[in-house]
Amino acid sequence: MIRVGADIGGTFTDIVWLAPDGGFRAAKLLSTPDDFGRAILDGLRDVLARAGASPEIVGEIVHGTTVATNAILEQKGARVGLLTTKGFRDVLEIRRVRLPVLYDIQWRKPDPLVRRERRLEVDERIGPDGEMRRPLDVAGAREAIAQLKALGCESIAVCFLHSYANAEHERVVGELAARELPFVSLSCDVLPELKEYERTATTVVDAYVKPVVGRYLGGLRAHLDAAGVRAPLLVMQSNGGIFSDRAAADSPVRIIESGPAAGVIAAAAAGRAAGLDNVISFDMGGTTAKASIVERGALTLASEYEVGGGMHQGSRLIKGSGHLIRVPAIDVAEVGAGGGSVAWIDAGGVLRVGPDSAGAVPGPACYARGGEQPTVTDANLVLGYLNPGYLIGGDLRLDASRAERALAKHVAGPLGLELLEAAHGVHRIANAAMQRAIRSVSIERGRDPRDFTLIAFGGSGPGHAAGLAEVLDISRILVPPHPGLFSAIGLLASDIERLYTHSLLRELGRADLGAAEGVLRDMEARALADLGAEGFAAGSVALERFADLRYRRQISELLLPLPARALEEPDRVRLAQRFHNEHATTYGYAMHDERIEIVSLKVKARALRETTSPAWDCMNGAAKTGADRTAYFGREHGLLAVRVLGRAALGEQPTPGPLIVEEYDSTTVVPPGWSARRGAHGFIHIER
Amino acid sequence: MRRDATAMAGIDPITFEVLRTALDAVADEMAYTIVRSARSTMIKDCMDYSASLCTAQGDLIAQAVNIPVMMCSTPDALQPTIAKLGPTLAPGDCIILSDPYEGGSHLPDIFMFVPIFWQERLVAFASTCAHHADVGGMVPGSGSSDATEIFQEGLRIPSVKLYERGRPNGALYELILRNVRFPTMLRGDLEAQRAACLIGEREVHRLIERYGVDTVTNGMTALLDYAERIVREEIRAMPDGIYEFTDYVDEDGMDPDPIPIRLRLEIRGDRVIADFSASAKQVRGSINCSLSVTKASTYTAVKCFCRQPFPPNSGFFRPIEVIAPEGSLLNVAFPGATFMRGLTIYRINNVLFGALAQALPERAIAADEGGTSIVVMEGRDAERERFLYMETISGAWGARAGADGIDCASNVTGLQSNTPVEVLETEYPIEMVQYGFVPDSGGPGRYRGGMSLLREYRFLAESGTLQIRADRVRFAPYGLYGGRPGGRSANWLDPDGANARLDSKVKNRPIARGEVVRHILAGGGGYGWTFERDVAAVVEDVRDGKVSVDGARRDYGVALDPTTFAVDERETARLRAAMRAAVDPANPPLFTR
Repeated sequence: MIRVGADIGGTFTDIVWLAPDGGFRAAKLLSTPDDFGRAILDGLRDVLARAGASPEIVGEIVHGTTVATNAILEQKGARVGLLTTKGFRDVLEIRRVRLPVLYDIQWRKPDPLVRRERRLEVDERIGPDGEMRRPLDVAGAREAIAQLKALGCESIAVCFLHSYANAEHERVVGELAARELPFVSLSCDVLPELKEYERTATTVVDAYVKPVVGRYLGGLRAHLDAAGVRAPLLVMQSNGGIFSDRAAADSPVRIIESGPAAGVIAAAAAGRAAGLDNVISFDMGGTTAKASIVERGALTLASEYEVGGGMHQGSRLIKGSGHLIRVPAIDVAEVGAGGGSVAWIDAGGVLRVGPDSAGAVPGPACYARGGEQPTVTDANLVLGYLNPGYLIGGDLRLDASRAERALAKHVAGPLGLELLEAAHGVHRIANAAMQRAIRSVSIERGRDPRDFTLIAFGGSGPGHAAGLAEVLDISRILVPPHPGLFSAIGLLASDIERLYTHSLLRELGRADLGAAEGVLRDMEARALADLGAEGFAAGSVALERFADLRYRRQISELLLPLPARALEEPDRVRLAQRFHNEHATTYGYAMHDERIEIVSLKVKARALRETTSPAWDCMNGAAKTGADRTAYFGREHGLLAVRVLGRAALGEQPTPGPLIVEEYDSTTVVPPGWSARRGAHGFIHIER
Repeated sequence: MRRDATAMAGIDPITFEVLRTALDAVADEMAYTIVRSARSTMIKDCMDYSASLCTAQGDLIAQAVNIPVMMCSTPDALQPTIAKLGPTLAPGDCIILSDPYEGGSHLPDIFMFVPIFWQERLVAFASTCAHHADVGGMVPGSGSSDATEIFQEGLRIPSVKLYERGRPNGALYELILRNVRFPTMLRGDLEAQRAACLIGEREVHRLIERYGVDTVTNGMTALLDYAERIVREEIRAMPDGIYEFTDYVDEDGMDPDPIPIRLRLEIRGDRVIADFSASAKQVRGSINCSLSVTKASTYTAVKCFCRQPFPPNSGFFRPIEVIAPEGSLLNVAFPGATFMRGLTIYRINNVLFGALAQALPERAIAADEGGTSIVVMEGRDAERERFLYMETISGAWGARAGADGIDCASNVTGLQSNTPVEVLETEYPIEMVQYGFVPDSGGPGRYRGGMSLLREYRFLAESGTLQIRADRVRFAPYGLYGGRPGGRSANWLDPDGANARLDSKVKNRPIARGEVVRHILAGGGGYGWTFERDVAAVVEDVRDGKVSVDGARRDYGVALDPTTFAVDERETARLRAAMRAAVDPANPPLFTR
């Protein structure tokens, strides 16, 4: 089966193609922001044509997309209406009250995604045990829905108190709303868990991006169908698992961090292949730079995170700077600095880079697509780091004179600097901005970046890695094959996975095990039905059961696996013992006389399938490289003659810099003081 | 500047930076451990606790993102402990302390210190402090506004070793647990504190293994000097002068008289002197403060008015002097009661902000809600088991020069969270009837103050008791430079029936099944003349129901149609002209309350 990975970034769309024999093809195209799906289709046609294959040969397309995140960051999501239990209209805006900052009286709280005018109350009440305390006011609900419709809402979020324990009122209102409006998100579907703010906020984000994601994925599917590609479309989730496009459209809150996740999956896989347990993934694209940590081989997952709050925060106690989403996600820090970031002079006469990006349109000045502002890519071209004639193996022509003009006019001139000095300043300032992302996941978590290997990828990552490593005193860098397509490769290294959870707050010693078994079986049946709909028979689905346990009234739980059989009486004692032990390991103490509570039950379902994983060795195709050239490395080293070679020409013995490795999709810069060698699987190791 | 500090300590700038952030990360990890394993709602939901690291001398070196006033008072708690127990300290020790007359703050706040040794040498302390749900005393939850001496407020814990060389002191533990109403909860919360301290110890050991003991200890010293240098530079940039401000606590719950806090704040060169000598004498009730928290409040306020970031450690305390005579409200003499002193801390902050507003009007902020309220309900649940529910409620911010006050964010000195309604209802026989904003409660102004919050409970157990600590019923949160005060606080019983007004301090009142209690928190003060508020901003507030149609007319001089929200331009111009004519627009009063 041919598998295709399609990763869309702000500037480029990457397509990779993997055949069962390890055959590898790729295409890199400029993104098409007016209709992102078009670039995917063009890329797919391109690789099909080069393979001389027909569209039916494609067995599966795995997609990573930033469409949901962008809708939030650019505030272009749907106009949402929120229905709450009577008396609780303001839960979304009150949040958890706590500030994300200390000692800052100038702080501004982000506006809620649904303003108060569009938050309406419905008379109803469910109690904590799921008992109905006040009946649903159906007429009132109808009226509220009509009012929201009149206010121009196209998407409705419903979050009633204790709906995780009894969803009936939410379901009835959901049906009423669905008759009036195209998009409805119910909190009992999105996050059936205790805590009304977390559930409301997550449901509101779901409702906010649902129309955008639905239209986008629907459009993409239509494009594929029209082109004769019948293969299933799978989408990367924030936690690194993949699921169907239909599931993604139903539950778009799970794909908010879809884009960044794939690169981290790829970095973890490359780290494994290179025998490295501790790596920092560093992904520099056109618009942003992202970092995440893989420690002792494990991804760093966050159980909840915030989007739209500016810079990613290191502290898990800092809450309230963005829109909360309680859905597990790979922990990624991101800053607004990339190849397309615009260099400018601020009011104080200081050179700045980003956060504005020239993106794909108009793009850097050297793309000659109408961009007039100098970008990081223009600076890198002027410095001699990039091939003066073309990028992407010749597919994208560059115009060095435009880059020089833009830099001279907007940076060098106003600052009274030599052109090369100005370009080097832009390069260094971009590095200074990007180190914040790495700090946030390493130093700010008490981890020393010097203990990690930097895995650099993204179109611009390998060109900046060494300079960035110098700022952070990191001495080892790994550049994987096809760094510019790395995230797309990561899409093909992931599993089809679904996680189901059900709140069930009961004392372990007294819980009705039959009822618990029923809840687990219901979730398993749902898992089998969901994956069945995606073509996986019951026999090819692996199910695992878990329980979240805690001492009475603790706020957080410890996740313990449950046996893969029906629960039985002795499990109470076994679970309790395991919990005491686990608690002692985690917190250094156990309280054997304290009661233990089951907080929720979970089922994880994974599709078992024969797939081709990325085989790194097959990816080292020869690339056309440019001639040796001169490049500028700052005042200390000046302008130096630099050898330019392809990855395959790099020896296994360290070659001292300066050196440039040119490839189809990326350019690796090895400055003076560093050396590079080619290791196993064709990985480039840069060290000093 | 940073290079200077590091050069002096012989540390390269990258190591200095890594150490600084790593120490913060350790404090953070400690705090995270407490919140994850604690039991009582005050700690796990309201987050009334903190974690920090201190030097071997007891100087605060790193704070978690927790309660500033709690953390800034740590050195005053730890230093007497070092003086008392110093020579006996050994690895594995774990010291607790709550007595305000030995460095503590008030009895429910139990400090815990774990000395960190490296090869026989004391190098640092891991410190945590948490507000425990009950430490004995005359009422459930230990705090009553009518306590008049500390013996009524629960167990006084001097600095003693709860663990000695890793072994618990069983007799001491038993004695403590015998004297509190919820021993299992207290033990769980104390063990959560200890788990956090041990994590702090482990992480500091890791840092020492990585960088060497001298680098770590010298780095701590350099951090103190670094913070001091920045804060002195900040103070030097503030205009020299003497700034006076007075605000009041309504009453202490015992005597009806208002209680003034009077500040004479002097900024001179790179020093700040906060003189509270003219404030009230010690009161009969339990709102008296130890000097340590008065100092901590002052440090917190000064930092809020600084522009540059710097680590909030003991180094930044050095240029700030605090004067409050013993036997006064702000420096309690034995055996005064202190449980409810939080109220006074918040008012100290309001007074400091009022004084600093005169020095730095462009960074000023009008009065906030006046601090968190505390609501306590106690009774027996369906299984006749005793329960105690206690929570803190905050907050509305005052308006700023250039921005509205925040509608609901924790008080800047308190940094607490709320208890989720679903958690409250699951764990206690209490129903939350409503929780939301009160229209027209944000202090009107060119920039509006934050909205009041309303929280309404229905008691579902058979019988029990109720306590409330609130204030700002008589003295509303002040507005600045023409801005109006925020809405007042109020407590009501049975609001949809008899609707009886309760006192601001409700003391151990019996409560029965079905009774409904409504607490309204005060709103934030406004900033600037109300008739200068952008008309569009008033219309937005009316659409959102934060300002009523009548309120828009009365408070802002904006006339609009109640259904279409269309503005009557002529009427609005007339109303606003009249409002302007009634005042001297060029000379707004500093404050209005």
